[in-house]
Amino acid sequence: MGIFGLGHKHLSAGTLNEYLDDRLPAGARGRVQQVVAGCPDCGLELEALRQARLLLRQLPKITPRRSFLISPSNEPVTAFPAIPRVRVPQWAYAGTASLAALVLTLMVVVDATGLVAPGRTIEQASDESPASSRLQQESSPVMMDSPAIESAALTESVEPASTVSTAAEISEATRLPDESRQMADSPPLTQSVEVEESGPTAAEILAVTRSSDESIRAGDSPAPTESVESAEAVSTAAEISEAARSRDKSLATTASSTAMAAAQAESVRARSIEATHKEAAVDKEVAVELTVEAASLTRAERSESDSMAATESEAAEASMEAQPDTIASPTVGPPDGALEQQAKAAAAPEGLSSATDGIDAPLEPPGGAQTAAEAAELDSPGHVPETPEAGPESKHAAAVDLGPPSQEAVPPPADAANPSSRALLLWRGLEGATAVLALALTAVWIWKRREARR
Amino acid sequence: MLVQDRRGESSCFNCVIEHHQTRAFNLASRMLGDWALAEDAVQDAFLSGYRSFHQFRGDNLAAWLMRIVANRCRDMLRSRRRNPTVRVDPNPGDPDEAGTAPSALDLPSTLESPEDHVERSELNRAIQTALNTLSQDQRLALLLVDVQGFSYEDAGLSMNCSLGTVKSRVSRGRKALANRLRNLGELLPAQFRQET
Repeated sequence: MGIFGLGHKHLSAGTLNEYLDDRLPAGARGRVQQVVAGCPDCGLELEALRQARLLLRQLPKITPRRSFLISPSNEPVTAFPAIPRVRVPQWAYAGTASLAALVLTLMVVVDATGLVAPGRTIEQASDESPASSRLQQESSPVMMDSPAIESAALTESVEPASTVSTAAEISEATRLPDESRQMADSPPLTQSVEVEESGPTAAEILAVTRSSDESIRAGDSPAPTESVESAEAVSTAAEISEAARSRDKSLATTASSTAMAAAQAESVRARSIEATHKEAAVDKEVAVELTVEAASLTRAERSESDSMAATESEAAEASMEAQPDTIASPTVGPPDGALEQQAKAAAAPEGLSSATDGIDAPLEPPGGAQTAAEAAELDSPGHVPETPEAGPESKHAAAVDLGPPSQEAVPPPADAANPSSRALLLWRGLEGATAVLALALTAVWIWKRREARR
Repeated sequence: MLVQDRRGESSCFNCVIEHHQTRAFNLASRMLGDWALAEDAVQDAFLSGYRSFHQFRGDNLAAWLMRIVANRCRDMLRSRRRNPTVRVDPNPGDPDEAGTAPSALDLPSTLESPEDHVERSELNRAIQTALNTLSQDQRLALLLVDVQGFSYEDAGLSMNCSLGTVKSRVSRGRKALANRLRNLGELLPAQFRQET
């Protein structure tokens, strides 16, 4: 202790309290007594602490007004055994939230690397989601209903077929792949309703195909209807006989062109089937429509030849009635050979019938020539419901069996059926649950901390 | 009602209650400042002690029981802070509360004059008010050491803290309480008045 407090350090409250409570050793107790005696501030502080201690000690004891004794009847009666309350420390919430966040990070990393669904990335999975596949299903019929797209697809399919000129190419084109044979042998599906709905479109297809067939027929052969009109214009028997010969030639040409058209149609069908397996569902629908088109074309050509044959026979009968002498001569008689050729052509000769078998098999008895009665049977209302708006081409197109059902008619399987997609969806669900768990634990932890601070 | 501690020694728990209930109730009432809450706290603490007496190691029963009472008082203070309540009836033995008339049982003894009785009551109320301004830990330390007469070691057992912590809490509590009592002025008895 120095003058004016220099070199003196006041005693702390802890030391003074220990001095009051007699918890200081003898040496320290003597030093404190010396300091308190020489320093009035330390003496006042010691006195204040002593008064506070004395006031607390003289506080009166409060006597409880009732006893707190426990008797067995005082035991609380509970219907269920008391569940011990478990106090979860705050760090447990924080630790669990951190662990959940770590697990979530690992799951996202595994998901991003594609280990959950091999061969699928996040973008692919999102593209193949059920919603997007549903959108594709809904948009595909709309696209194929537009006539512009149909005609474009048709010209693309017909143009390569028009380049087939040699017999070798025709025979190559008539080789059906196994898939197309399976399509032809499978039970037919008559899509009459769909064809009726798209009646004008089928008529357009038939018109386009006819124009292409006419260009295939080398142009110099007159059309059968024109020859019939010229035959009606001739009045003499000689002219009739010449017209009949020309009709024979034209019929033969028509028969051969019919077979070629059938072969071309079959080649178109084969190509379209190949494209079906390579391309997407849109190409499959185009191939089916081309098949319908080819069958309707064949039937239309045959109905034409049948009508021409009937017209010719009527003309021959008329000429025989007009000049029996001329008719009796063998040179002017009915063209048996030509009629036989026509019948053979109508029956699709063996060399080229392989191309038409696949188309005609569902329509007519195998190997038999289609007569007008059979065609009438096929065109009967029992086969196809007739609509007043539909023309003869649309009726024929409607009566054609489409072979195996197209895959567009059957809804594609749901994306969830794919095992990899299901695993990916399950993994995403687990990720979401982990994220929710982490967020909930974090919220609980924050709430607990705020409660503890209060 | 015989109970066994961890060592296997049997005791009559009601005897334990009779021996410690006044001390426990004083501690609870000083801690809570509300006799009704203090009664509930003491009853709950004794019931909890009865159920968990098998965990008692047999060293210091008073410190163990006061620890249970102190923990129960802390829980009640926490719940009261969350759901504040207003006391309707006054504390017993406090005749100066408004609306209460002293009964024949509460008449002051003839050992002190009425003036002295009033001064004592006011001083006790002031001390209790000063105690309520302290923190829970400092209040409990002062109540255990200065009011209940516990040693620092027993107070450390009751407060579940070390000896140094008890010392610091007692020292800071006494200093804070002395500063508050200094403001009382003439309310303090003559022997407690400090001349500046």
